Amino acid sequence: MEHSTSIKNEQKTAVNPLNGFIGRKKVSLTDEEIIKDLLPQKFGMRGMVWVGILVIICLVGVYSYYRQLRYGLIVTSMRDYASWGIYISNFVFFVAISLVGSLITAVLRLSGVHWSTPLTRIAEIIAVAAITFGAIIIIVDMGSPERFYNLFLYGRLQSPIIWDVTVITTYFFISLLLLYIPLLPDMKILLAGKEKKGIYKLYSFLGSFWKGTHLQFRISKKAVNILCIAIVPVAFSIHTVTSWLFATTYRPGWDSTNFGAYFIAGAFLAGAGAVNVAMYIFRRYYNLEKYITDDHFDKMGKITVMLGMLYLYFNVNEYLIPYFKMKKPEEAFLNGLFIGQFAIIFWSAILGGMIIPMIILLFKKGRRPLPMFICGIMIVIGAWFKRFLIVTPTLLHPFLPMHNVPESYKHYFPSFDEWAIALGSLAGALLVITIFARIFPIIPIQETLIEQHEKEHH
Amino acid sequence: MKRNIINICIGVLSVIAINFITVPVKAQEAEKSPLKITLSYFTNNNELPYLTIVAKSKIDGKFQPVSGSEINLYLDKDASGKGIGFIGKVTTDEKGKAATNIPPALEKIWKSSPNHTFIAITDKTKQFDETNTELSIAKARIIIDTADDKNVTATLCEYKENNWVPVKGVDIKLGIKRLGGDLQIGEEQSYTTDSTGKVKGEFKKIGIPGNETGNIVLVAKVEDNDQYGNLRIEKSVPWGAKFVANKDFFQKTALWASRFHSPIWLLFLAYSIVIVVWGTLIYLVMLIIKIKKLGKEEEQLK
Repeated sequence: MEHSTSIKNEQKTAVNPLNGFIGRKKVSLTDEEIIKDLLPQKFGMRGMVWVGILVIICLVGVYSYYRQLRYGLIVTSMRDYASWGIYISNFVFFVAISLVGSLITAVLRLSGVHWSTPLTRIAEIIAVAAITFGAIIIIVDMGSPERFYNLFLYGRLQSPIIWDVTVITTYFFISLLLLYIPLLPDMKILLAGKEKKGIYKLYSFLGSFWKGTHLQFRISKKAVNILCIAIVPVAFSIHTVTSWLFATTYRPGWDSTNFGAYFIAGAFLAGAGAVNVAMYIFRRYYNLEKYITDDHFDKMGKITVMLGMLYLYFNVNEYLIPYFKMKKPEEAFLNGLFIGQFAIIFWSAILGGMIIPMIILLFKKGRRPLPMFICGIMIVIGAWFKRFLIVTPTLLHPFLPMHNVPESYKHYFPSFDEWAIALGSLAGALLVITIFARIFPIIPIQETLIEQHEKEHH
Repeated sequence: MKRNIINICIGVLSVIAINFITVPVKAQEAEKSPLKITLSYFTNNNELPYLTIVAKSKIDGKFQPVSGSEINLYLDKDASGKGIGFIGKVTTDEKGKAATNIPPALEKIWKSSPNHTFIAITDKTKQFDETNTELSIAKARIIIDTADDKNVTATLCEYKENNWVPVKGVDIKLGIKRLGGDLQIGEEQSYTTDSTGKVKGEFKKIGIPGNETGNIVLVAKVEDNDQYGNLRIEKSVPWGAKFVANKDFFQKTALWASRFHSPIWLLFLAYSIVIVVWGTLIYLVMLIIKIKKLGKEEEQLK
């Protein structure tokens, strides 16, 4: 019964030093203080304004989608050649971001790393929100979403699209379980002594059956371990299969055997950047300095540098070597990226989204919270534009030259409706994360308590 | 200091003034860009002729199609240069193109003369000034003939004084009609008519796929001729190889086959992965159910 430490034991505990730091100062906290600190907090004025802005952006996106349904894909700038635009860029971005769930939760947990515990739920909700909106945006990209069911009626197992649909559904389900099961012990803390009204009805529905018995802990631990093992290959599959949507077609920039690994490396970097941003925001606005410490930023910074180097290595292979070879059919495409119409975005994404953050994070001072937050933003924005560069320039440079087509077919700049829908989906993902943090503890309370007690015993 | 501020103000005002002056000038220049109308005359198989019209204008330093341009078309003109027979009014599409037949109502005018002039008139609009474009043609026709030794003969004749007269020195192309265009029948790209108006070409594409009965379509054409426009005639001949449709192509077990003909290894791989992963997930759901059950039992014990 050593793990049935929930409410009864927690209330008895007088002083339990938490090995946390505020800045560089070590602090000790009681269980009550931990619970009080980590319980979800009501939105303040800033929170309300933030939610309001997100809702407005979402509504504008919904209106634009209504226009797209009403008038068809003609409201977008996508034409015969650039038939994939920022919707698909957004989809690839979402899938990339979602991979962070497996990195923080599974890879670090399986490696026996305990410092990541306060970050697991942040990573998982980012994963769930991202994969949800990734799935939504792919339907938005369809001209006739009412025909979506045909994918299941007539889909061919040989098509990577079917693989992608299968893997996305699977990853969504696994991420949901990985979010839900570790949340169960916290439900008891959330419900403690409360009447089942309002939000407590939801807590009760989701986890009133959690009594914190030894057997329940044992089963949930087993389930989480299985999930951590299962999520790694599925997470790798989801982004590999997404890369195959491109790599299985014969086009400049996509025809690569390296694409799976390249996508996964990029996804880990983008996800790590997103976690860095989320860590800073939650720490600052939820006053979690005792739990998400400078040490967490330092360690995440080192991981980000490592992932950045890995992604840079793949970028050298994907772009520099083809540029060195300069095959004639790929010349226009590569020149477009390096010195042509996409050069500004390309070099901004490489420098601003990869090299500069990496250089900053190499220094200890650069791994402090604020520089980490800024680097995280740079990485995430760079990652979005990198996905745009993967999708669009290739489509505008087909192997067979464009002949006798209207001028609008030769260029692509997203229309207002496309921007509104894409931004609406990004705002939607942020809204899901925000609302989740309002309802549930963003740092696992029970796990924090258990880890603290274990350290105490040692 | 004061002087500096005055200098800055003058500088800013100058920039604004230059903008105000130059912007309307640029706009005016754009409006003044001339509209270029190109008329082309076509007859296929010596049937009813038709016209194609292309509208272009120099925008941003290069010729670009002008869509939505309204063009009035006339057949022939009177002594004052005014159009006689109104063919119709066409509007160019997004590629700047339009096409029209010569209506039956103009049959009398059409038959009255061996030579005709087509006139395209556009009215003055906000963007362009009015334009007047003419195209003169002489009526002509091609006759295509084939021999058993797979030689193709095409004869070009012009309509003169109620007779079809052979024309010398005009380039004719001989080809085979294919999906993406016409393939030349031999090595020559084009042939020039002799004094009898004839060209002769040898068919060298032996074994070229035809339709199910082995028929292919031979083509003889005159392209963009200043006097005769575009003339084309087709003739079907049984000189091709019979096309046998491979109806089983998508029914075989292959990666490109239809959905129920996936390769076995792919089915095995995909279903194995799906079964293992979803089996694990179902097991995890069962674990949650077990946790729930344990919770209820614990509650009952209390």
